[in-house]
Amino acid sequence: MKKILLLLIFVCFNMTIFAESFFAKHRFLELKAGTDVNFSNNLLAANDFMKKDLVIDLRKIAEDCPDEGFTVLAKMSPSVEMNLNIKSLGFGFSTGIEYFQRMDLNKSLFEFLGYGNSIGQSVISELKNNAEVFAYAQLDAGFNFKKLRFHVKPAVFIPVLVINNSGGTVTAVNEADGTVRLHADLNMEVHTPLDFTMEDGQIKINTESLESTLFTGYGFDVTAALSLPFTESFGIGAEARVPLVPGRLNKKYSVTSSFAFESPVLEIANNTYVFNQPVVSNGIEEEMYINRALKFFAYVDTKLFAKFVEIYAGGGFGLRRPFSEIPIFYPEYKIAVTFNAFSIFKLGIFTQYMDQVFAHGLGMTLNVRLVQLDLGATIQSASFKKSFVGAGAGAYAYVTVGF
Amino acid sequence: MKKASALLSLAGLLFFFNSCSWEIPETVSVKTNASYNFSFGNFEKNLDSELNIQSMLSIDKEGVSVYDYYPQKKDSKIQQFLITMKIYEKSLADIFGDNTSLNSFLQYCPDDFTIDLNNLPGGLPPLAASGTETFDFNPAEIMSSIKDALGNDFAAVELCSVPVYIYCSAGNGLSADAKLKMFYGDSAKNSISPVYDTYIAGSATERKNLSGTTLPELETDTRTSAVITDLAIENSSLNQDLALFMNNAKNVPRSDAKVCIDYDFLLKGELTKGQFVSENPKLVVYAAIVLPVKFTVTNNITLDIRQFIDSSNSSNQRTDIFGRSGPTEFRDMMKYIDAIRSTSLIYSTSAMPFKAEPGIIFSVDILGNNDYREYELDGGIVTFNYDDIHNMINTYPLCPNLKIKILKDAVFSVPRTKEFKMNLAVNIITDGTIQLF
Repeated sequence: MKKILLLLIFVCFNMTIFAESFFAKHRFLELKAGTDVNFSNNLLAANDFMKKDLVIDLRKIAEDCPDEGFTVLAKMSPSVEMNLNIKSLGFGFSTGIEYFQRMDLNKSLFEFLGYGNSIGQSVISELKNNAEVFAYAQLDAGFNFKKLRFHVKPAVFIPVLVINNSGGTVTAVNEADGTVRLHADLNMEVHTPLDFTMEDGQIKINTESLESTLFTGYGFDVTAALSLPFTESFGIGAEARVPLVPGRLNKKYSVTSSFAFESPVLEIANNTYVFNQPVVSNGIEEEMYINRALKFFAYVDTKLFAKFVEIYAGGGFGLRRPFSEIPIFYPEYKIAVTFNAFSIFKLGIFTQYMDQVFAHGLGMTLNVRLVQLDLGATIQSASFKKSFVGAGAGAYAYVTVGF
Repeated sequence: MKKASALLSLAGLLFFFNSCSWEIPETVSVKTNASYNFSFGNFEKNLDSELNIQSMLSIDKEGVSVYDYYPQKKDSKIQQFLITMKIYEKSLADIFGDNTSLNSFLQYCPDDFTIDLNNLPGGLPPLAASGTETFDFNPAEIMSSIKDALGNDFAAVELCSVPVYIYCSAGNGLSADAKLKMFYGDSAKNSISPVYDTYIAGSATERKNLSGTTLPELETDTRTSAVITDLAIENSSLNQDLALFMNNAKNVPRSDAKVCIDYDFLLKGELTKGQFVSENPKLVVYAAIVLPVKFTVTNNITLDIRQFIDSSNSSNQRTDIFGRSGPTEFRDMMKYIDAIRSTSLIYSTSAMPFKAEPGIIFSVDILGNNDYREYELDGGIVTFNYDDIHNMINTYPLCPNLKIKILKDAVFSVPRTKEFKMNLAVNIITDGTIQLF
């Protein structure tokens, strides 16, 4: 028995050494493609809704609604990258799309439904929409300097579409004198370099000038990464993305409309309502400059139990729309524990607050050297509490091929 | 580090366990527990046209003037009217007329001869004036206009006070003894109901001396044209309360009866022949009647608010308050109504076309079955609980009775601003679950 045990340990030891040298080693040339998709809110959890007998508790929703209101977040970043590694030198090129959208509905409507109202109290429902779509291309140069590993990633990005705090407001009030006032405003503004036209009620992009219009508004930023492995199983690192030249969007399209109504409450049925037809602008020349988020992140990476367990912990911050009138600062963190079986199979769990979303997930990597598959799923929400109960979900999938 | 790993593992497991319990909803319900408030605003009715001076006192007689009376602009809680009438105006010469004895006497006596009206030379009649005048109004008309505006029950009221002021002047230091009798007369100024004849000065057998006074100059308010001179603090020859007499108006059998005054003056004092001939003094008598629209309630008064607000609705044509065309029309809405725990009507009355001491009782019979609940009229909350609401829904047609009650012996008055103004709001408290699908 002892002999068999010693033999197994010997085999495992040799396999580890072999796997370490074969599977964990960087590929000389690799091509990676994939995307992540994320969608969440900070109020309504799937656990509350995915029930046989669904009860929508208006009071509970109002109690749970954060002071900043109901937020829906969507994020996606499909990308393709190619890397070339020559000993300690590495070169890479990546391109992709970054899409981020955030919709906020203030708390007033939920408070009205959940708690009620008092006479003369205005119920103001304000919907704000923020969205950013960037296309980018990035180079990556990595090299070692003494014990340090450097990466420099200059990127050119094109802001394809930006929606900045656009939305609408509906205000309703029942005054003590019995008057009901209702006022609604819609003002949706979309900034883009693209040339849209409206034909037969459909929005079309002028493809003839697509290339020229897109490439006149590009901007630059650069990401610098530094890692310092103190030992084979413990290292630290940091990464920062700094905007250099903002991207430019030169057209603004808008949809505006308004509606106002005032009537004694007992005469509402006798009055007529007139909605103004939405006014759709054909696009006016208005420049807007925007950068991708400024970011900084520092981390600690350690491997335990003969590298069978990897622990990663880091923190930093992001600054969305830096150097603008309304920069949005947010902290970030990530903690991950990964069980690594010879770098062939990895299974990890992680929790993070990145890009204003708390996410907790499960990730898996299957690496057979020529092909690597990275898959993962998360539960997430902008609210920490709601992030555990299915208020949002995300997934990622990346395929890497190389040798 | 181990703890962190365990925590993360737990989070992952939690997600999977949670997701394992998910089911596709088969029913969707909304649970509500809130307090909603809505205001219906003010319900107003202005009664200035129904209770104006023309409708309450339609007097059309030369020499009789009717004023909106607002003495010193002090008491806006009581509408008052002032009726003034010149009862008599004649010079002494005219009073004597073609009396040959007097003319002979005057012809032969010297100018500085003092004539003592109390003791005229033999053969000369006393200097007296008598006659009858009508005020051309009937206080029952006031009651009638109030009854028309507010309801038949308002007939059970009596005027609290009706001050009458007599102003008698003859000049030159003369005074007058008088008998003044008020009565309800016909068009020929004959008493219709002698039992109600009332002497306000003297009696059937003797006269009363009246000091010499003149009707004060009546000052009016520039905005409202109301007389603001307070006759109560001005000098008058006679000051009496005619309330009892006026309240008898409703007992007079003829509706065309008018308030009349029978006068009998006997002038007293001394004056020289010169004064008599050259100055020719006059006997002038004015009467001023103040009519405060303030009554004592002689029997319980009940006002039907619903009829009062919407005078086009007669009691026989009441429709369902929810406007339903049938008893089952709300059946589809019952699941929503079931979630209502209580509904409260919050009312506040800021103006009433009448006031009463002690207060006015507001009675509500929501189901129309004469089961009244009483509330203060000035303001309050009428709450219907879950059972009340269901009883209302199950009653068709639902014709609630809203009544205002003024108890017997209360003092009731009509203010200068004659409007009804009530603010109405509703509070709905929900606590229940409504199945939508």
